Amino acid sequence: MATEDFTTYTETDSGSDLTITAAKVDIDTMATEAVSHVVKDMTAGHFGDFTHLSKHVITAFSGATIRQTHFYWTLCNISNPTWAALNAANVGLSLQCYAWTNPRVRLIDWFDNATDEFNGVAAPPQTYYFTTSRSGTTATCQIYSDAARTNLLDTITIVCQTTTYRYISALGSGGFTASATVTASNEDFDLQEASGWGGERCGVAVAEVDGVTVAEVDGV
Amino acid sequence: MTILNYPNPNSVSTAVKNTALKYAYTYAVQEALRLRHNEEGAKYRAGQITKDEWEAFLHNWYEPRNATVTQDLLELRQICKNYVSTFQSNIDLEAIPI
Repeated sequence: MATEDFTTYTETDSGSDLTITAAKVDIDTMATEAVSHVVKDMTAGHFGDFTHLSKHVITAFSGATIRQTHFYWTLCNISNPTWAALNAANVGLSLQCYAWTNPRVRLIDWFDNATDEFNGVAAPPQTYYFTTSRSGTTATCQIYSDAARTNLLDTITIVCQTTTYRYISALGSGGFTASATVTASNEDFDLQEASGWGGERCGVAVAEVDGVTVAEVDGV
Repeated sequence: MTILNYPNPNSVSTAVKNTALKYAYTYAVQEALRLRHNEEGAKYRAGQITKDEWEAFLHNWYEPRNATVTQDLLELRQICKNYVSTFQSNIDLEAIPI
């Protein structure tokens, strides 16, 4: 499966901390209070059940005893998914990095703040590979230390909403004051979706409208 | 366990104590599953098993078991959350023994 091209995402970068390339969002000493996000509008109701793959590198963070936070990945229905905006909207599903001594991973459903956490294996630099999925009311993130996903560090899981989501975010900042920074990257998002709008079978674009499957052949 | 014995050990129902034990047990089972996953993963990385054998292990052995354990953990967590809602308004922080 092809990975996402982040150059097609919409970038907001209040602190000029981000560098976007095709497969990677580089974050350079981004402050928690930055209002920054990298988002793609996939159209309303795009994300139902899913399994997404992604890679995350935490190079360094300052203020280790102070709350540093940013998002590895988010699905939501707002176009500006910082912590502050998600906390206000109360709709979305996120993988949040918050740094104490070790870079932690928190899976959170913003509707009711259901959370589960992985407390991190060691201080930065750390590289994590996530397989994040939702099936009905169960959301799960499997955290690995290797790209082949043969070394499982932890599985975190929550009871989640079945809300469909419109936006995917490849980075979100905190948006609140915390005197802390992070240097990291979010990379290689594989949404494991068929190419084309609504799917593609045998070279024919296929979509479902009001329960009826329709196909488009040669632009007709 | 200071908190569970306070203020009256009889106020903590056996059902809740049993849920806590089941929760701990289920976490231990999940941890054992994780270690087993990584044993097979190490074999795959070392070339001792093929890619097909690794994937068969994941799909036929690991993932079904992990799904069962995950659902049990979520059910037990929900029981704990429901229990919390029954006493939350009566918590007296000043009365915690120190």
